[in-house]
Amino acid sequence: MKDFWKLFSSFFRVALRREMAYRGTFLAGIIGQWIGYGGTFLGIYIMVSSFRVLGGWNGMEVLALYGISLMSYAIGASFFFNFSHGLAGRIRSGEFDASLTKPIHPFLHEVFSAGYNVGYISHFTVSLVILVIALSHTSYTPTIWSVLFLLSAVLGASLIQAATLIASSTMSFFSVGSNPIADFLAYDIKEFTNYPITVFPKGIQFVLTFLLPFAFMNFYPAAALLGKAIPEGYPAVLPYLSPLVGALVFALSILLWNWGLKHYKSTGS
Amino acid sequence: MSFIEVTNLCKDYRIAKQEKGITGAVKSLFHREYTVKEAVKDVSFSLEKGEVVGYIGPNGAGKSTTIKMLSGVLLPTSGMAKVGDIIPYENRKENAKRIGVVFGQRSQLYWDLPISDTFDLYESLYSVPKERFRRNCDFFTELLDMKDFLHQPVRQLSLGQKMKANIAIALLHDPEVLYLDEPTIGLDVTSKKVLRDALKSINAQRKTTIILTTHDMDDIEAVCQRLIMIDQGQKLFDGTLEDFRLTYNDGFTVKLEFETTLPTWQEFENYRLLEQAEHHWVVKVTGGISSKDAMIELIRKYDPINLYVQEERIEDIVRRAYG
Repeated sequence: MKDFWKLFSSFFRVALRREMAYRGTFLAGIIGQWIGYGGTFLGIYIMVSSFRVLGGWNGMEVLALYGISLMSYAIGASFFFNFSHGLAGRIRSGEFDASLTKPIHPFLHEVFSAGYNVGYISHFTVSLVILVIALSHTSYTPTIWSVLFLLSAVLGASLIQAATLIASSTMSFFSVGSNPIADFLAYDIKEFTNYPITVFPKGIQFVLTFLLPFAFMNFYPAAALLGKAIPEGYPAVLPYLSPLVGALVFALSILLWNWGLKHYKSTGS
Repeated sequence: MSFIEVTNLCKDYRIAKQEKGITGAVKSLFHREYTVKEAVKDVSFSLEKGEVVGYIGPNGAGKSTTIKMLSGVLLPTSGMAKVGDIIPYENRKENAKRIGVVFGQRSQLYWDLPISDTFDLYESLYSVPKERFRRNCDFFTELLDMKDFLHQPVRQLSLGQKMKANIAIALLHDPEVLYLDEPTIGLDVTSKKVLRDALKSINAQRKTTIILTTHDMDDIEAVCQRLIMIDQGQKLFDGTLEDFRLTYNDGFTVKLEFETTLPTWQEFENYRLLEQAEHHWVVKVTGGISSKDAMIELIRKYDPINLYVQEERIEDIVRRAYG
């Protein structure tokens, strides 16, 4: 474990230096993202301030959902976006093979050497602003416990976001072309999480809770924080399980990735 | 038991057949036919510690596939490889600590950072003790003549400089084996020479076992004691360079220079005219004729003013051996 942190910090330092090597691009990227996500935020803000109640949630509460989702994406993607999107290219070019000749697990080596994407600092700051604005307009009262709960929920959500990126990269071991299925799972399904799942039909609620547990990313923890109802008949403990579910799907995504790797090692590319 | 043992190693690839056109593409979505390509077929050899072996063969012969199995990247379909008592593809991490790998055209450097940063990273990646790491850094910087560009971003470096750096980082942790997949590809004459000399002294000073694949036979002549040749996945030859010449050698060439116009060439057995210019011929002599006899014969017949005998180049022998 000590070695892990030493290795992590070495790679992290290198990743930061790489990002900072192009100061201009770096700053332009952040400002660009601010403008982009600021626009999205305004759009949603106008929309939610004009409707009253959606599945028992008012506009500001829905905005809080979006804030948690964006924040967790910023955290998860800053570590795993480069890795996830670079893998197919590295397999195609043969660079991936080098990771299999290193004395650490190839997953770690890939994640480490893909680098930390500092650009997500812009998503993070935007999401922080959204979350603060949104929560201050709701019944939420910050106490030590509720803040800790929120932090742990964001951590769990980040793990779910990371797991999504890891799982979708696994497809690269089988086909190095683009994979719409993985993109659908990683991006399109997540669109559902912009709304409380109680507005959806029962089938979708079930899928988002038990099969592709995106509801744990923001809906359940937000329901706990804001005292909202969860789908009828579902265990009352669900809103508190985000960190657990996050850790679980994160572990599963790595198992999936390893399974893909095994296929790669026996077939080559 | 030898240091590296490869026994009946096989590797098959399954390649999806692609039919032409859109109908073919649609059909392949539902049903795919595969052809099996035997990339490596029943290859066996053993290496002692400290040997330098040239692993040669035409494109697609199975060289890289063999290296990938030896370095733990790929699982063999059947057969076995053992490197110093470790089965590389089963004990990948343990094996990785003891090997250095350079895959020719793929750089392992971070192109926006100077090499010195990648060096530091490899120190923690392989947990190399600080002092040994320093010593190795200095040693390879000196040996590969890298002082001048150690602190420049990699993207500004030439191909030769990058290759030197890749070889250096593959060696910082004192591996027992070094696998080099086409290390000299695309390099200029000077860089090639620096690399070859470096490989020779690494082998001499550190007893590093080296397996290198190449298409440049000068690499082989300069650094390898031994040659293994494969084609279409099968081993065709395994032995010393000298043996290789004896096995595949097919005579020698004689260059005849004339002061004035060329005489008329007469075709006769074991003598063949390869090249003809204004004032010289190049004649190929085969059939086990000694160079002395050949010279006497050619002088008697054509009376040249100068005459040079040239041993066949490994490159030409290899080209013929590939068929």
